[in-house]
Amino acid sequence: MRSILHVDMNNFYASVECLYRPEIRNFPVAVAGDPLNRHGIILAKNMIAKKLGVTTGEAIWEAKLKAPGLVLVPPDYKKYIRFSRMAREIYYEYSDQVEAFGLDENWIDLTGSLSCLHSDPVTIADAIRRRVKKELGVTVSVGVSFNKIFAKLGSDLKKPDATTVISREHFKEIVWPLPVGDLLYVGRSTARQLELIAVNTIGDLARTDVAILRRRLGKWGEILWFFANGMDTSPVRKISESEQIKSIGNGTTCPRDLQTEQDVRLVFTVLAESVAARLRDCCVKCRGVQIFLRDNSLFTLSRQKQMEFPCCTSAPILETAMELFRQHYRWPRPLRSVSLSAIYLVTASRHVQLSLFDDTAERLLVQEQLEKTVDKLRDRFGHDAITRASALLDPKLTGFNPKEDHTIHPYSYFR
Amino acid sequence: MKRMEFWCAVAQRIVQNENGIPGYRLVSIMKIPLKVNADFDLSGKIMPRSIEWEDGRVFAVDRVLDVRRAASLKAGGTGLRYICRICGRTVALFNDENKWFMEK
Repeated sequence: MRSILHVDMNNFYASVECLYRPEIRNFPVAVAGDPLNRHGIILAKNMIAKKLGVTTGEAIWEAKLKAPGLVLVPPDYKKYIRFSRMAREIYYEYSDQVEAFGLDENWIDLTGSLSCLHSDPVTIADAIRRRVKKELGVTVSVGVSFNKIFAKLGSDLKKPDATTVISREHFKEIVWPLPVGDLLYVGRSTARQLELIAVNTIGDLARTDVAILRRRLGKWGEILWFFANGMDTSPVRKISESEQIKSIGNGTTCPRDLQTEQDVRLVFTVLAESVAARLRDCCVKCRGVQIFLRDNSLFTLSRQKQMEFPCCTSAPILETAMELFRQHYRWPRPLRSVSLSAIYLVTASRHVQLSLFDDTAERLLVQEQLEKTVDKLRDRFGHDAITRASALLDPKLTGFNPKEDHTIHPYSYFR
Repeated sequence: MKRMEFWCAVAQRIVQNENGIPGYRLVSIMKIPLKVNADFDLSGKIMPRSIEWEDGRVFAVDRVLDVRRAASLKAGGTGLRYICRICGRTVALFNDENKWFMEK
């Protein structure tokens, strides 16, 4: 049987901010984006704000209604990344199998290292808790279990600064009465689907015939059934194993609504440059592009398209994105946010079939050389050392650097 | 003599701040930023040799007793904590990404 810990840093962003600003520690505190750039939502909140009902993702004015004295703090991702790294350094002392799930959550597989540590998982969980609190000044809750899913569930049960054990013998008493929405990968719509067949708790899900679930939810039904019965066998990745990247994307909520195709083109140019640069960093090329649009009534639309030649340059990505955009968006309303992803990734080193009759593939290679040079310039002299002339048309819209500003993504469980 | 001077300096800071705003103690002023003179050895280890108080007086670090990573809840920060002996008293100096500070 495996011994797996899931370590979750409590109210991560807010805890770090409260550590650095002791004067606000006893007030309701929320880390929020910049309302002037229209990123004004709550990213994290501390325990006091949580008790007043402030939730992550709501708008600042909503939160202020609930908690009138709310102290708002801008996010400082550099600090959070540093804390995340320091926390992982502690975890690495206990196992070489540490897998991150976002910045603040990690799975640790102790199965192999228990015999060397001469200890049991719960003692180690408590030791980790104590060390993080002492060395970093923030609290963590730890779930101890025999698979990753239940370990994660456990860490969510008791907060803050607590250890929860879910053993094979007792998991039915602890896990099964919980609402089905607590299970990883049961979102709002899946929960609604399950409600229709009278599945309200995780126990209900586990006792339902797997054939019914498969019919209702497809292969996901089966996976969720395995999760609910504690039969998840997914491994915790080792430090050295790098993840398989499936897509690379960037998006932004613009400082003002996008009114014209020209606006959209400007923003897509910046995004395409960033995506292309990241593709080159990872030594991959993409064979498809996906765009994601959200208008000012928060209606969302996403479309994708395959490309003829795999590429890692911004021009074809931009053109494909614009083509998709023109095809699928008829401007019912101005756009609030857009994102752009490169999908169907292939390795960059593979050979390309050149055509006898046209030179598109060859021109792509030339373009690639050019953009690699731009990368080098930016590496040495900073991002603003070289920009497109078109970026100057509206510096407010294009004045962001998605490659370096935002490289924090939610991770997928199945990589 | 030096010893008296050091502790008077610390005490003065506390008195000043506590009288700052009546009825409300600003906790963040529990952090005293410091100028530090330090040795970097060949392996990259940093050892503080002396600290400079805000009015320019310099106090020598007589001995470093303990170095480990720790958070300072009182001053607000985290980093390497150097427990040092300065003028006969034990104090904790924190190195938070090369910004040094001391708790009150």
